[in-house]
Amino acid sequence: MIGLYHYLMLSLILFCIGLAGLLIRRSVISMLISIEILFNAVNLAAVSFNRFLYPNSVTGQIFVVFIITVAAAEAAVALALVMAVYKNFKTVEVSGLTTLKG
Amino acid sequence: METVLQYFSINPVFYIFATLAVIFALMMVTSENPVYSAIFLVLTFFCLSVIYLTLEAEFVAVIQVLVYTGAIMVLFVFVIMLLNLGRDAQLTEYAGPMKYLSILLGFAILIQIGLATKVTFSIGAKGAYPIERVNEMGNTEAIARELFSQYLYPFEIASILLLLGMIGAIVISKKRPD
Repeated sequence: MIGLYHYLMLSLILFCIGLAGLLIRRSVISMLISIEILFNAVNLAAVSFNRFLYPNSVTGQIFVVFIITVAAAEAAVALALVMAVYKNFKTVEVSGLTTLKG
Repeated sequence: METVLQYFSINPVFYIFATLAVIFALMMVTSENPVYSAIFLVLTFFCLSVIYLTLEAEFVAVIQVLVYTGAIMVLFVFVIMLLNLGRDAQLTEYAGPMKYLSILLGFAILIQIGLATKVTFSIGAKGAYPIERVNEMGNTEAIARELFSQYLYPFEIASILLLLGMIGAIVISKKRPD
């Protein structure tokens, strides 16, 4: 029988993969893509807690709706930032963005 | 509708799509071309959408496909194509003895968190929507009723946030007068 732990384990594994991607990728766009995986791992945890611990309410799913909204706003602003960075620095690699280093 | 959901909660469906989601996520992290990364991420989202169906959260499953794979990922692919990144945004490897140590420590943390989640959970208090009522009127209607009554202010704030995000994106990416 599939229980809460199976879903939490899947969420944990996806979170770790996304975190690893965030740390090993050097392109800002790939890092943003990894952040989307992190969002999805959290969403999965929220929905599975809702399903198994509070089956008589839909609060967890409403939280997921809000998280997806915030993720959409974040993606729009972050990609605009990437465009601006590319316009100024001609690169999207984080190793090339060292202006603030002094 | 209930029969469809019962069909989706058969055990092999979870295992197959969980495995596929993990495989696609790994391929997303390791593929050097950002376009391939984005496409593997779309596949991961589709697998997660099926996982949401096994959790009887069909509204979230539909929103996942519509918003994530439909809107957000199109935005990503669009920017990747626009910047013409192609091959030069490559995965940088850091070789050395610290690499193996970090892999070991990563697995240790994974096991640690896995053990930490092994606490006993108990089913919470009854909410406004008993399971019979949700089955009767459907998950989407339950979410809509809750969203537009109890969570009305967060909903409005979310709409303002989206508006601000849109304005911010336009202002940031706009060409500045010299």
